[in-house]
Amino acid sequence: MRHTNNIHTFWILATLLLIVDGLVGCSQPAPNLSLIEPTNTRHDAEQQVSSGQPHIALVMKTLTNPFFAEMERGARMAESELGITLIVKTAAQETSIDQQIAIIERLILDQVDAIVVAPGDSTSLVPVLRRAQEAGIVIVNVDNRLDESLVYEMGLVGVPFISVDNVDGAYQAAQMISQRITTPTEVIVLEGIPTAQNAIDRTNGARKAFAENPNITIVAIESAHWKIDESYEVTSRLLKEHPQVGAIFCANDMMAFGSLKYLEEIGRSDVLVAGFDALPEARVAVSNGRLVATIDQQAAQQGYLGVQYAVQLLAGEQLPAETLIPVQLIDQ
Amino acid sequence: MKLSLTIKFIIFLHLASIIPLLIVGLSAYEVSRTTLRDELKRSTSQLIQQQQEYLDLQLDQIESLITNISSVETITHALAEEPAPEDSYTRLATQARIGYILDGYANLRGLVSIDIFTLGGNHYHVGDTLDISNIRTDVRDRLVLRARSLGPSEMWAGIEQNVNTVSNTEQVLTVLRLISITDRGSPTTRPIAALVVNYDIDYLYEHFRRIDLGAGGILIVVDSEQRIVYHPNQQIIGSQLSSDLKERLQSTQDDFTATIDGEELLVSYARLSRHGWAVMSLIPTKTLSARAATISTAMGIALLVAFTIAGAAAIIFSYTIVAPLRQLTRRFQLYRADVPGWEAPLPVRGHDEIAELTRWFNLFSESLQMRWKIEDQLRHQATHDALTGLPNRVYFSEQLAMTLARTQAGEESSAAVLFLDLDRFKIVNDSLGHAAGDQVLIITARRLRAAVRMDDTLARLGGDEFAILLNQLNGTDEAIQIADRIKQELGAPFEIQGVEVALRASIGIAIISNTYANPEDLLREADTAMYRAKAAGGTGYMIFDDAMHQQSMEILRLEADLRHAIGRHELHISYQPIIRLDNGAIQGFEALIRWHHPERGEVAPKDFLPLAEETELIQQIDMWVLRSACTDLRHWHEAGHPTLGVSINLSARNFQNMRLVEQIQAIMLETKISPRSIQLEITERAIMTDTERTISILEQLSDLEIQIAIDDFGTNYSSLAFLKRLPANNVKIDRSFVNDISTSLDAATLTSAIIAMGHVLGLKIIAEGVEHSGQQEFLSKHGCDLAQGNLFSLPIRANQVTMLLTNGLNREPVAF
Repeated sequence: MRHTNNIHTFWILATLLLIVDGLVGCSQPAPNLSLIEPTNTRHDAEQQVSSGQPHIALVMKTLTNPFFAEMERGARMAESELGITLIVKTAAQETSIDQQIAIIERLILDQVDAIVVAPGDSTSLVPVLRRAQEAGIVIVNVDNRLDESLVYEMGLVGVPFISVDNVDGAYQAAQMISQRITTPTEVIVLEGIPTAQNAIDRTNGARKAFAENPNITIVAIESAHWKIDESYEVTSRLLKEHPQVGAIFCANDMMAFGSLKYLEEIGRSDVLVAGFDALPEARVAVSNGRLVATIDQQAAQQGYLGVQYAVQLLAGEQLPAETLIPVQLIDQ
Repeated sequence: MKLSLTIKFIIFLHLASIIPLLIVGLSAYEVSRTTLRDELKRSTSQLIQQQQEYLDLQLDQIESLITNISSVETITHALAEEPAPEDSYTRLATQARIGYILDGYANLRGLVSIDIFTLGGNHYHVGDTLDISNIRTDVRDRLVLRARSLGPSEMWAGIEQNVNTVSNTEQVLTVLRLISITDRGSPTTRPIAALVVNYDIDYLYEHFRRIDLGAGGILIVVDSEQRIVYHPNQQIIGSQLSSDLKERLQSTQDDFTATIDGEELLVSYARLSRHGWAVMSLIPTKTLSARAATISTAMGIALLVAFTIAGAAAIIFSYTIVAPLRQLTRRFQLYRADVPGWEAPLPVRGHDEIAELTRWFNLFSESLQMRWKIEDQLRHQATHDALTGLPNRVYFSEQLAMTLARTQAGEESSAAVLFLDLDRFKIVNDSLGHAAGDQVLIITARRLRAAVRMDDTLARLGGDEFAILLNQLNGTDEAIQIADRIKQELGAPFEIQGVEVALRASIGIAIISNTYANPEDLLREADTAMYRAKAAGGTGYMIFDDAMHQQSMEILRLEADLRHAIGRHELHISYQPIIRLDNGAIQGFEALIRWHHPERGEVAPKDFLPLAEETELIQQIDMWVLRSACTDLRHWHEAGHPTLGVSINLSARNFQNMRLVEQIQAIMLETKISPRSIQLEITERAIMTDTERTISILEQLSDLEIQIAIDDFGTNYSSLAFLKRLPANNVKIDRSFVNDISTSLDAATLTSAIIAMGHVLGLKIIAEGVEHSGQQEFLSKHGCDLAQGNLFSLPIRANQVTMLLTNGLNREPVAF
């Protein structure tokens, strides 16, 4: 009897549940569509890199100098080889020091792991880099050396420096001019940003080479701030002041092209011009005789090494404070 | 269909609670589902609206950027002077110049790069890389081609591959514009370059990612070419929408439901005001249902709870109402079927009607049991003896009747009745008291029980009489064996109140045969046999045999004859004179009954009076004697002997007659005899049978001045104090004393003591059975008042009395 009751209860329950289910689950059928074209799926699954990779920023001086494009290429090579994420930041012009500071501040906020910096100025960037280091960011100095006493003063320690021997490079390039000068000749030196250590070094190297030749008189040492158009302007002004100038040493190729542009405009192809950086255009110019020489400071290798050093520092390795890459003289 | 209470109750519960709950729940579910859906549609379209506005704003920003760049003259002029490939300076300088300017724009958040592709093949670039040596030429060509197809100040925006392979961003949001210049003096504009601004889709992604459309809901942004600009799954960004979905989007204005990749989705869709972009939301319908599902879950739980409650209620109902009812029904069924166990009280729970019913059932059962118990007790009492616990005569008779019936039916081979009477029990009773007598009876019962077989019926018939019914006997011998065993058992002496008592019983055995119809006959025969055994003394038991049967028959016949004796005038009276011992005068006569049987001749009073005593006959006889004696006395009074009295024996049986005094009075009125002339003799034994009642009647008779004499005095150990209570006038000394006067000193002493004692109590003493003159002398000497006996006269007939009265005693009168 009890058993029968239970069966009754069960059927009543089951019926009611079926009714509920039927009312709730009423739905009309719809054709099955797909969201995307099956053949059109993106092919870059590997693009989805793990965010666990260290983020290393390469901060360079200007986007207009192919030298830095070369440096980036080297850094990119390291990026793909060492499994890091490279962030390339560049100020607009060589002189945009504030922009560089702003870029580094931004990177601190973005909490990158390392900054490989080619500072436009050897002193102004020290405080912001010190802040970055305090925020736990590894700093590697490339191309232009930060001011050593200021670095020491600010406590920015453990920052390896990678560059070339700018004094020697400049000396070699200037020597190529010097060798050609056998009669007393007025010479101009166009230097980079005067507060930048590499600019100072190059000027010193050039002066050293010119000093060895008694026929040479340096009539002007002026800065065109590494820029092509400024160099054009400065050259035009200086040649008006010193029409007898027989040679110009430019601290980089961009300035060399600026000078060449003016000299060619006024038909002074006799003026010997040497550059620095060995841009592709400069190499062409050397080979066809427009430039006496240029110095390949192996920008790509500097970029590569900068990133590699950053990775090594992040791994806690000890690195030499200074790494100088040998320069290569490009001449006829 | 036969429904049990529980099912009825469950159905009722469903109708009353669950079905309304179900209806309310379902309608609530439907309403909320619709409301939720509407609400969702509204909020989705609002959301889409917002995102539309956001995208418009973003695109506005980029467009204005592009517009700004394309209107910077430095750039347009620089671009217009397409340098010769070998002109490093111009190229580098232009690049620098344009770079400086473009860099100023590159700060826009989310901007990846700005590229300018001149129609002459130069490429100017700012952005997240400097290295433009390796670009996707197919993308570049596509962009340039698309830019060239745009009208003046027209822009195109869409998802594209980043033209710069070195860049970190591969998929970008690209905005395009054609830069044209108008040469002076020319009426037409000349296209010079394609301006490409690449925007980071991650930046858009970060924005859209934060938009929450609820569980499973996704927002999708597509460009004019139906490529996905935003999708929560970054893998899908850049992919083309499927053509069937595209068709569906184009054909519908409103929201629609579609199954996409196996999931049913609600699709909401809105176009942007520019670039043919669209924002759409895909929300799984099951999310909708999921929200409404809270209600359906709640309802389900409510239903479940309701079912549980209903179930629990049904169980409780079943336990508290149905089960007790069934139990009660079962009990009544058991009661009806007379199965034991029905009467045990049922547990009463609570105070409800069921409890009340159960309580009343218990009371019913209790009172019924009480009644049965009382009935059992009564039955037991009616059939058992209280003292010994043995069955009584009633029960025994029943059993005997059954045995008889079985015997007659031939089922009982052999059975017997033992009738047992303790010898000298009365002595024990009288000397040690009733309590001792009771104890003797109890011991007897116990010993009898031990002696008989298990199945034998042992009963106490009354007094010291026991009867045993022996069933299934193996012949008469076994009955004798049992009788022997009984005698043996009873024989062991025991002590009561310090007195050693040895029991002896007389046993009468009657063997049952199918000739008996009446249990009483059997009992009587066993009784008879017992009497014989007692009379015989010796062996202690006697089997009722033919001789006894004959004797019994004889007695029965005699009894029958006696009944007719009065009517047939076979009875007559003999009178024995009672002599005054002081002067020898006749004081009166004792009337003695005589029966002259027509066949047997004279029957001795000892042969028929006990018979008459056993039946009512004695009363008739006594009254007949009284009447006859009174009539005779009348004659004698009239014949000149007015002082004569007559003494009549009154049997104990008469005291059971309620109208005795009345009848005696009537006889005396009828015969005109003064009560003073009448003496009624009552034996000591008769008085002791029912003392109080007898004394009361005697007092009434005494009040009538009827003389009372105690007959056979001295044989029954009555005390003086007892004698003093009796309203007696005279005492008749038993003949046994008189007999022994001359031979036994004891008898003499006793006789003289009785005489003296009687006188002290103011009683006259009559001596009976005086046969020798010595006896008369002794009695006279000791002051006995009256005497009767053969010495004076034998009993004589009434006619002889007249002669005697006339002639005096025909012997030499003894000197008085």
